[in-house]
Amino acid sequence: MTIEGEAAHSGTLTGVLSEDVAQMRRRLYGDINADAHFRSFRIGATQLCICYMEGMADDNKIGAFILHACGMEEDRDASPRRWTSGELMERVLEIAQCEAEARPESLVRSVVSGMSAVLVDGSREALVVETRGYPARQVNRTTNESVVIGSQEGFVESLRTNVTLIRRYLPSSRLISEPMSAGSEFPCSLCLMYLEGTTDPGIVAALRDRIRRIDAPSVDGIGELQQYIEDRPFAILPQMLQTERPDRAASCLREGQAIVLAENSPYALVAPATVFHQLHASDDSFARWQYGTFLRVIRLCGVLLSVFLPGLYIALTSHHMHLIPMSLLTSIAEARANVPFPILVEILIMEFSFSLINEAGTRIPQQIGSALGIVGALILGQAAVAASIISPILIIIVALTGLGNYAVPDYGFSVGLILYRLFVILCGALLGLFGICIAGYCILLSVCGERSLGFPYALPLAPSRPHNPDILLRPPVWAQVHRALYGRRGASGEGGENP
Amino acid sequence: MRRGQRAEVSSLSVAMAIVPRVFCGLMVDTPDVHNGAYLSVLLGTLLALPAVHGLQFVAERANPRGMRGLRLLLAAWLSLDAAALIDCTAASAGYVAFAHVATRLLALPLLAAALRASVSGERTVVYTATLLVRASMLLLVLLIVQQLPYLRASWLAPVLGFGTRGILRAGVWTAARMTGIAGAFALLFQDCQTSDGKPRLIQGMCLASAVLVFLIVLRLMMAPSMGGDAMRRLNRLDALLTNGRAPLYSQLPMITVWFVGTLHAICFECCATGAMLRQSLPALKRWGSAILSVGPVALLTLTGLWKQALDALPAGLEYGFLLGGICLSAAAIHLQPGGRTCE
Repeated sequence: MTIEGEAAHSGTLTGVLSEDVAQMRRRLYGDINADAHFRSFRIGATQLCICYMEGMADDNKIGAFILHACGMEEDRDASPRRWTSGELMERVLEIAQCEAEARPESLVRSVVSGMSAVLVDGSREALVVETRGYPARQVNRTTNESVVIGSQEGFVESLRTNVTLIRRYLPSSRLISEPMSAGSEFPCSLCLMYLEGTTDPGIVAALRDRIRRIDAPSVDGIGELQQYIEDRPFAILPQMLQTERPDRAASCLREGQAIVLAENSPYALVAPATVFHQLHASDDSFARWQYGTFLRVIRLCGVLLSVFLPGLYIALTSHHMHLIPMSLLTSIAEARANVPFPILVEILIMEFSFSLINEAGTRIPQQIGSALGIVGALILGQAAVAASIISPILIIIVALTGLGNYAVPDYGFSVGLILYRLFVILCGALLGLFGICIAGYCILLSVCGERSLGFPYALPLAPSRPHNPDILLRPPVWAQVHRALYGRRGASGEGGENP
Repeated sequence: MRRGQRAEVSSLSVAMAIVPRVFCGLMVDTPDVHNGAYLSVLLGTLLALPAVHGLQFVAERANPRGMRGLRLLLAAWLSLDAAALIDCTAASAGYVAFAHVATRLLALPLLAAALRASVSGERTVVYTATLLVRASMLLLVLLIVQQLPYLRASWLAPVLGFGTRGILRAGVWTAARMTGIAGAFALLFQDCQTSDGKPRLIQGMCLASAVLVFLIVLRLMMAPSMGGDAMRRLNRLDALLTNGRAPLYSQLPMITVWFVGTLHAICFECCATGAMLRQSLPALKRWGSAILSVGPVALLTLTGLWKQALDALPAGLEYGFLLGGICLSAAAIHLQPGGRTCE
């Protein structure tokens, strides 16, 4: 067997252009794959071939920085000399990001991600040139984490852009962005970011280790990644934070947390996170401390209403009528006089209808979105009451509950609260206040028992740790100390105190 | 000591486990002390302090076999106590809204919660206590503000029930409960023996004592004059939860504090039992120890056996049983100079 044959067999480039091109063509299914392009050209006495994916690579960059640059060099030096890939990289190609690569599988990975591979006759190394230029959404306003004041820009689907957005907020050499990937068959490009010297190395190591241990053919963005690496997959509440705001991600990095960004995901995954992170919003820190505190208290009340209000209503009206003031009890009784269902059924109907409208509202095209409001208001507000299916007071209860739920900034967390609410409703219906107390205690137990990257989920209140007082209230910024809770001197995490 | 355990068992966590248990016992199940209950608390604390201190001392120097015996003894004690507490809490649930439901049925959700807590582990229950303390304090303040117009200092006038004998008996009863719960803390968290990580038991017990005295005095100042047999549990619950003079809707925070407090005490006792079983028998897994800890409690509660086991036992004997057990274990333990430390 010749050297070239051995090389082709062992999965490296041969240095014979025709064979290398054939190998790349085979690996990229170039005969049937219309997007894979192979463009041959010459510089001096050296034959070259650019291999790229149409649409993923930018034609202009290829034309200007590779083809045109080679043409200029040929004009300058008419002698029929031979060029190696190293010489091409150093003297000809006019593009900053360029590296030599000898393994065809790496070349293929680069090509399908939008880079161009320049195969050089006589060289057993090809050049991987940064020519990515696929269409991507521009940086735009956030959609789910809107704020009144403060930065308005959100992450986009491009990993590179997202890393840049964070770097703008944290212009420090200590900000590390570590490239990773997950998925064996369709690798998803990831970027692990942390502040060297601030983030506990244990956090970074744990995160890195969990990502490396993912054994799946593909990982579809941040949402799936979170499910693979979170501590307790069966827990109701999310144990990591997803944010679409670069300023919030940067703030978490300053606190000593680590973040993971993924290609095609306009979110950052923050770990470790606590239950209090899920309740904070960027407005809290932008606004003056009085306003921030007020808003946060309102939000906490919203959470409590969202979880406990329907359960309390059913417990009081079914089992503890004597605890309701007589005038209120009378009006509740009058309102329910014609309703044929028990309160539990009534509440479950309303909860289902509300969730249905909510879900439909998320999926409905914007053009007919207003119709949904009309349907919802008519069905829930007027027709159901007129038909005596539900009582008017229940509409108030469900509306308050829904508003409380919408006050939660994190979508996953708010869905978790709905599940808790159903549990509280059932306990309240069966056991009254006794049941509500048991349900509340069990919820507290599950919150305190959860872990995020090994850190207790209710940190820093349970267990109590020295912390920034920015937890339930939002004190003035100058009074906020111990900012890096998860930093090197903060609480211990994985391997430290897991039961 | 592992870093994560720093301040894990704060004095507040200890107090949160002791206060509901003792308050429940003195206000509902030990009616013979009447207005002398706060004296019983003080006496009980005085009796329990040296016992717990001794237990801590022994735990620091114990060999594994001795520790195993001590843990099993305390686990058995806590199981009995949890059964009694479950019965009382279930009865209060019956009083509040489910008079037509058998107390034993009402004990089932409590047992389920205890099982959940046992599976969660002792640390989770202690963490929960630190959050509960904050919420309970808010509710207590609300309660006090609500009740302020109804408080009468004159009702504090000493009506000492069976007199010194009753107070002493209740004091010894209190000491037994305090020793059991604080002892469980001492044994469960004995791995952290440095001054920083050591469970703050003595402070916790003193804090519990102060809170109990405050609550009892407050409770006595708003006691309604009762008709009927004041010794009956139903009347005691009526005095405690409806409070006679308060508007009915203001019962809500009172009932919440009551249920959450007693539930936490139950969960702690069951969870501590499970954890001590796990420490004594390392082959046991989390679920196994949880079932082994809640199973006997369920048996005792649902069959009413605890009544036979504890009712017939004079309080002095309860305390003697605990103290004697600790002393016997201490005698069986080869005291080693220096003791063990984590770091």
